[in-house]
Amino acid sequence: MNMKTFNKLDATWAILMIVTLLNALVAETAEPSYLITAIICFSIAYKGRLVIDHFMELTQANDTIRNLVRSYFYFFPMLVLLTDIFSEQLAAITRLS
Amino acid sequence: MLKDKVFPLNGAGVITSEPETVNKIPGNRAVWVGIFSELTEFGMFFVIYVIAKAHYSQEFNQGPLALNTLAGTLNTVALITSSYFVAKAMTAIRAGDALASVRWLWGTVAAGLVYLLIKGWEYGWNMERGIHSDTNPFFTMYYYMTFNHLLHVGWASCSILWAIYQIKRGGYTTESHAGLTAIACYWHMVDLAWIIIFPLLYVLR
Repeated sequence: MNMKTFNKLDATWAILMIVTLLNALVAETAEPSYLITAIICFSIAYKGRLVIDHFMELTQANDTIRNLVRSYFYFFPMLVLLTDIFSEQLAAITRLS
Repeated sequence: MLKDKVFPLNGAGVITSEPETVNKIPGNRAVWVGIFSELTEFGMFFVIYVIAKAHYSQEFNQGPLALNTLAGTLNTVALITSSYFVAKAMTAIRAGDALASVRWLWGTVAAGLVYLLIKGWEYGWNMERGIHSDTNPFFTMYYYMTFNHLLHVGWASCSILWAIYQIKRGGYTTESHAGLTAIACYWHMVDLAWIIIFPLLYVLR
């Protein structure tokens, strides 16, 4: 087996583990703030991109599939961040009565 | 000089035969209909989550503090590791090492089982503390999202067992393994969904 490939996969796994543990540290210690939300949303997008590109191997796959899956991990972290910042407005426009 | 042409694999490294994922639909069209359907389903959960959080900010602020962060973190470790094992299995089958591919897939099944056991223990831990699906809207979201995801891990594990069976009987080989690629993509999708679910429920307040 190609050693370079082996190392790259290992490195991707190790980075994902580190980001996950940092997320857990934030969960246990950090007080809520927009900055923390932004950092966590960025970590979601980053972890998603690593899995999509290196584990799922979409880097050179069909353009439509790659772009749709990648955009999922741009859209939802951004949605979580924006709805946190504009939560009162969101609550107002989604109130049923 | 086609003989000397090389192709990137798993984001780095090279092989000399073109992987089935390059400029193509990985696996088959049917699995991608399934994957995008599942991603849409989870996407709807995420939209409902942000709306519910906007309406019940107090419950969503306190909810993550009541959950077992260690269990959520271990679940994440198990699922990311399982995805890594699947990627290694794909590398092995392309390199002509079917036995190694099977070993990595058994590792995936084991990681999936670890996930299911942790989640089962976590539900018991919650119940002992009076955390039920009707406790408040946060925990309703928590149980709905995590139990739905748990089901996906369960049947995706069954598909990995099917892949192991196929490799052993010669159904998936170095030259022909589109079915394994499809199963691998589905498994990674299950991992991707959890990558969003974990911070939403255990980290963000």
